[in-house]
Amino acid sequence: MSDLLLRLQNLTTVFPTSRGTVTAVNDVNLTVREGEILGIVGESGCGKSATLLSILRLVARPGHITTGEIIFRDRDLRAASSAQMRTVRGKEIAMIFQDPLSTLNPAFPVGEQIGESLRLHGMLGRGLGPFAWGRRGRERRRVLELMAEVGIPSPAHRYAAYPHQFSGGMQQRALIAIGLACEPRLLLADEPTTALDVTIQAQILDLMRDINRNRGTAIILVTHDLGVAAEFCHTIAVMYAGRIVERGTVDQVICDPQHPYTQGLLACRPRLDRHEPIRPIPGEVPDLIDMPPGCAFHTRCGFARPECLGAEIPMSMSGDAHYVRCIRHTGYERHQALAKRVGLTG
Amino acid sequence: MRFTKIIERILVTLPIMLGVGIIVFLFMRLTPGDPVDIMMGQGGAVSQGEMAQLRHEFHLDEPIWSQLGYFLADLAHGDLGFSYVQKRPVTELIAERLPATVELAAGALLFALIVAVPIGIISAVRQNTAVDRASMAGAFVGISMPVFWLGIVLILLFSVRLHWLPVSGRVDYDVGLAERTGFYVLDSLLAGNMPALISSLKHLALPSITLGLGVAAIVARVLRSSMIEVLRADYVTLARAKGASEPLVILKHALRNALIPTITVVGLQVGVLLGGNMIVEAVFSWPGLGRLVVNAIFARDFPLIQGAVMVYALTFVMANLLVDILYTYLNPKITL
Amino acid sequence: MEQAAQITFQTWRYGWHIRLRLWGRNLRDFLAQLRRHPLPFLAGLIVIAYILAALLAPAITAHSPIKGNLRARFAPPAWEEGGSLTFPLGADDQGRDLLTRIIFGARVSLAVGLWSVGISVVVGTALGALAGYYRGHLDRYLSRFADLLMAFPFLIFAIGVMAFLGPGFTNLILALTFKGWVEFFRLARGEMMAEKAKEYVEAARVAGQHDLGIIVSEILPNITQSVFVLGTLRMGFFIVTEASLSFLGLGIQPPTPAWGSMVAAGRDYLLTAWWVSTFPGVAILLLVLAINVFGEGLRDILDPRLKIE
Repeated sequence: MSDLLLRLQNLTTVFPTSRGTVTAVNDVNLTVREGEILGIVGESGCGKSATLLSILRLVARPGHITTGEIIFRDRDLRAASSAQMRTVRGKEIAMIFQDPLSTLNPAFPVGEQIGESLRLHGMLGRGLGPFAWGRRGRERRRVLELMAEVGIPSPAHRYAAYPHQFSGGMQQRALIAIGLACEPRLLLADEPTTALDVTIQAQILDLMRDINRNRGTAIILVTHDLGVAAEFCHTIAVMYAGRIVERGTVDQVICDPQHPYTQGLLACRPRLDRHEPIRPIPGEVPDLIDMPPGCAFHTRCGFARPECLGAEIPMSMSGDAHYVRCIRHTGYERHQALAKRVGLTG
Repeated sequence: MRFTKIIERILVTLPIMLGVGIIVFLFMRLTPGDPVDIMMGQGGAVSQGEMAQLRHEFHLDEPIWSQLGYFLADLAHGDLGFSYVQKRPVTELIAERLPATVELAAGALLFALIVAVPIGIISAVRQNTAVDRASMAGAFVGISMPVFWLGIVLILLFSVRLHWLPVSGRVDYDVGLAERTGFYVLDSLLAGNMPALISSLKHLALPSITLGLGVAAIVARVLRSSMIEVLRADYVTLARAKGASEPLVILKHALRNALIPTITVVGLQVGVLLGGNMIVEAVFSWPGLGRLVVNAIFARDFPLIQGAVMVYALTFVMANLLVDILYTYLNPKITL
Repeated sequence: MEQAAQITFQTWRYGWHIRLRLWGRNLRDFLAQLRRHPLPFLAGLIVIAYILAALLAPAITAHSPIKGNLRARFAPPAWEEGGSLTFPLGADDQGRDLLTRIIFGARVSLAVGLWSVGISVVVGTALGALAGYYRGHLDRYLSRFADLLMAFPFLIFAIGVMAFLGPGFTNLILALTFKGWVEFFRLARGEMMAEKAKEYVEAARVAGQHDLGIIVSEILPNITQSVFVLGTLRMGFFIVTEASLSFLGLGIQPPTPAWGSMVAAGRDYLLTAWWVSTFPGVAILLLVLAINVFGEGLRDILDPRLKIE
């Protein structure tokens, strides 16, 4: 068992708006081990990006974290000072975003932006005064190395180029280079392939898999695409309306989903091998403002019961390290479900 | 690569300068009344024969097209005509007064930027706080205020009531300033003449503030809205995620991008500076080009007016050209 | 296809009637919205106050704006030592009541402002609409001419024109509109080109509507909104320019009261009678400030897209 790298405990992030408070991240518990790839899957607006931003404490004002702990390598990041956070950001935990063109600064050359990460965290060794231009040479060399590593062709030519001169795939690779520059232990990837073509998507995912294998960097991949998650991740957490509703290894969640939402997501994928009508999940995502306690999914759930509303439903175990947030799995019900699966039916 | 773009821009301004010359010329010729009459108005009685001769000299008996030709040819040689009121070539008169005006404009621009840039940035970063609201309210007043009135109020306050700053002129007589470049601040620095430096700065202060305040207000507003938009951008979040400190994020990542649209506005404000320049020079009796023109208007010295208007317009065109070039440097998306 | 076009065309032809009625309702909505923005509402009231004062000037003032009482020379404002309520804001060098002159001065400034903005808007919008619709040579020459005019700083140009034409009310309007129309030209032209690409224009043309008819009855109403906003915002600028010209002695000539020339006249007496220069300027500042605040509020209400924030 590898070491525990990150632990989110009861993390809650809210956004006050003029119409009410949106609880974007609601009592989230997650763990990531060294070298693990965790996928957070859910629809747009379910709070996945907010979770990532909360880890780095980059939530835009007036949003803020209200409760919870962010334990990274035995340090609670919530208790850290701004200066300490700055040493963590970019160096120990790096983040890449969804739309590479808008995430790269249009006014600076790409090489300079990658080099900035190196400079910010002193990765080029101390050297002031007369050694300054030696440092620039070292910076350039290191940046070129990084660019080659992420698969940008002819790095020397592209060093001084501007982001708008790159294609989408290359821009994303540049962003990954920025992320990797300081050799972080954890990489937060917020839908890195959503804005790209499918073929490029596959390339980027391959790149990230290599990074995970060769460097042992843990990754939290946020995506709305279950297929990507299934192919790429070790563990998956399914999010709905700010809460984690199911969590487990990729096999458990994909092959044996327990939560109705996960089941619905898997069921509504179009299949190439069979001619079936697509079965979407009926209903819509609820308004996140001032949500009542209870299960947020109950309005669309085929198994809904009056007990689903009224009190918060805790996560319950449904197998080895497989967790579900559903009332059918608490106590007696869960027993029944387990018995049924194992073959002892009554 | 950029170089050719710059040449291109310069070439584009040539027809505009030509057009400016033509318009000014037409205005001169379209004035009711005989030009020679008007020109000779101050000179006293002149005989008919001499008038005819002068008319011939000025090509006034030729068709308007050739008149235009002579005019433009003179222009190309830098000859802006002759002032009969002051009995000197216009070019000379203008050149004499130009440094004073440039000094004033430079002082105003400097003041405007020093005030507007920090205010714009701070207002954007602290959006909707008391500081922001106060500065934007101030900016509003700044753009609504007539320049001449501001000058008078400042004189009232700082000269008449507080006696801190002088009312008019460029420098006190008793500091013994040796004029070399015509820029008194520069000249005093070059000569190491401390009292002259202080005196010229004191004289420059109120006029610069008067002229610069309106510009500062507009630039502050534009910079603020530019910054607000930029600060919302994804790349700013990325900069923070990289571990950059907040000042670095604001001053390097954000400001650089926010300056791009702001520069264009600054270019337009140069026009305001040039126009307001006349008023400020009148209010503060600043011996520059503006004052020259105002006096020329009352003396009905048309060649001088014509020449000065041309100089102002051409300066405006060149200033915008400079801003254009600066813009291509700031905005990497503008290449060929 | 033709049928559809015919129907579309007839609809908006009759739509005119509906539009007029909607206008009434729009006005009510507009006022309701305005009340939600207190500052522009207040500013609007101030502008109306100025307009009323200007219109009712002779009725609400006790003194003559032109004839002065030399014994009341430099009477200080009411709250100063030696002042009295007869001359609430003091008197000038000819013993004329400042408040009266300021109120009469509003007539001049507002008249100049409204006329010059009005003419600029009409001329600029008309030319811009035509240029944007027909393109071609017309557009090219007009645009070039407009660019050329823009090469002159506004005040310089106005001063130059006044220098050649001489002072006076009509010359002043002429000087201001000569360069003022350019902005509205560009706006109207831009909007026209954008609107022209939209479908309802195509529908109207297919239905056989004349070009001019299309421009006037359909496209123009969509453009007027932004033109109106711009006009309001520029009005303050025109008023200040008029005052500046009068200050230099190039605008409205004395003894007609004009705020700019009043400030200029008081210059020599700053030491002894500061009020002569100060209060006319305050009048300008307040009016222009109110116009600007109202104009910005107008823009926020009518077209939040144009808002910078």
